[in-house]
Amino acid sequence: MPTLQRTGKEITEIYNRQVDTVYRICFSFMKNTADTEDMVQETFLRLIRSGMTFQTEEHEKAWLIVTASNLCKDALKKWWRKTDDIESPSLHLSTPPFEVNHVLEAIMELPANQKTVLYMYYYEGYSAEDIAAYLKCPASTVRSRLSRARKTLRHKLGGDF
Amino acid sequence: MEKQKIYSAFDNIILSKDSANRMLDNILSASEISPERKDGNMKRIGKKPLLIAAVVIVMLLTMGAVIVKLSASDLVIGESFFPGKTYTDNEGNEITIPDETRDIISLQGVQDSPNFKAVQEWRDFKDSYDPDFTLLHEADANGFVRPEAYHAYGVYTQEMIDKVDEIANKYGLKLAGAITMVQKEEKDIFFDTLGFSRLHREDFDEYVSYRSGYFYECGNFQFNFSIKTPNNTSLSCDMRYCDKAYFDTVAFSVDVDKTKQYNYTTSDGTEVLLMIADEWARIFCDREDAFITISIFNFSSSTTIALEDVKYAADAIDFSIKPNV
Repeated sequence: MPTLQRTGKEITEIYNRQVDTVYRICFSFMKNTADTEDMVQETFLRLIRSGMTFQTEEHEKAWLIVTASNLCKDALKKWWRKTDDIESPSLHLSTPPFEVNHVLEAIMELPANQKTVLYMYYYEGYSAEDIAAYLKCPASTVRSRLSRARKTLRHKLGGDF
Repeated sequence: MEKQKIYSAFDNIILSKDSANRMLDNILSASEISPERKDGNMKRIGKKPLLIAAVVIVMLLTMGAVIVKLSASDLVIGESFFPGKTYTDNEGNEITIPDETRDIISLQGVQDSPNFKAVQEWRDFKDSYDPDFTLLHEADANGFVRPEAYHAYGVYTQEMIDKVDEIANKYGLKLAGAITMVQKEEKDIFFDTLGFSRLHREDFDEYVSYRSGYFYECGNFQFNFSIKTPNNTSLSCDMRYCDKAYFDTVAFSVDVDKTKQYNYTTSDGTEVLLMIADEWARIFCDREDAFITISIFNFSSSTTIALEDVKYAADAIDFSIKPNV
């Protein structure tokens, strides 16, 4: 992938275009606003420093979703190693200024790889094939993760929740 | 039903405008965007104000005013024009940000210092270099890979690399070297590598919480932490350390006339300059061997930052630190 140093104006435009998406995916991993903001900033810094350029805004969004997911997973892994039995940062670290309902809570408890495909499929509307291409895995794996995520949500929330 | 509930759950996650703006400021600051690159239209400060400033300094010195405290005007490199924009916020309101001309402030040292002259020369070069970004796009197309040692300078051609070397040699400055990013969970790497255990004074232990940042091979760094003040205000602070033996090009854009400035002596006797605007503040400390800047935002609310909170932050920070690399 070619490198490109962007101007502040270009960065601001990308940020304004994609920050809501990146914030949503990061919050679903980090579960509190302070850590989410760390990860959002880290994701955009990663984009800036990588110099990545994209053919379309959809590619740009997908790259940010995948990168944000990976950064969050890495951050949580390191955090887990240091805290042994604590699964993830507490929701009470910083209360979000929006409602975390029972569906969102259940989604946030899903394994990382299921959470990412669930977000890309249901919220962003990517096809399983597109998600597979972005995640560099077979489409069958994406479908399998979606299926397991739905099964877990049904089990936790009941019926069509 | 299932699809709609999953969609709604994600849709509940809403980013506030204040948080979005604060993060963007942090990102632009941490990515070391050169102010002139924000619009490609940086202008040099006029000669007349410099002449007036020089006359005033001579008058003060001849009047016996020997104590020269740090002033924002000592740090002004030039001006830059920032075009306005209109956007729609989360509530659907159309927000217009007007055009603005801001001063460009050195974060390396005061006027006439080698570090100030070096950053000014670099900015003059970049101001006229590749104005239509042709070379940038060529570099992009040709897969230019920036050498690690030049990471701090945003170069994308050999000519820019040569210019960095030329300016650094001219002013006897060394290059910052490779960068290391540090996340919150890795902050021990930051402290262990740089050879100190904290950036704050010991008696403020319980009020300071460290987050993330980066450092260069030479020890120059930027690190984010929060300070809780007696007013129960949570301040987000980015501490930037610039060793004067090294070439650094990061600057800060601000309309100095729209800020309030105070010279302040911290409780441990360090002379600093406080600069306060509506929603942010900066602390500048000009040491003989290093220039330290603290960028402060108010985490607790979007209201103005109180002078007493900024003074508290200045008292809490250890301005005597020196990376041991």
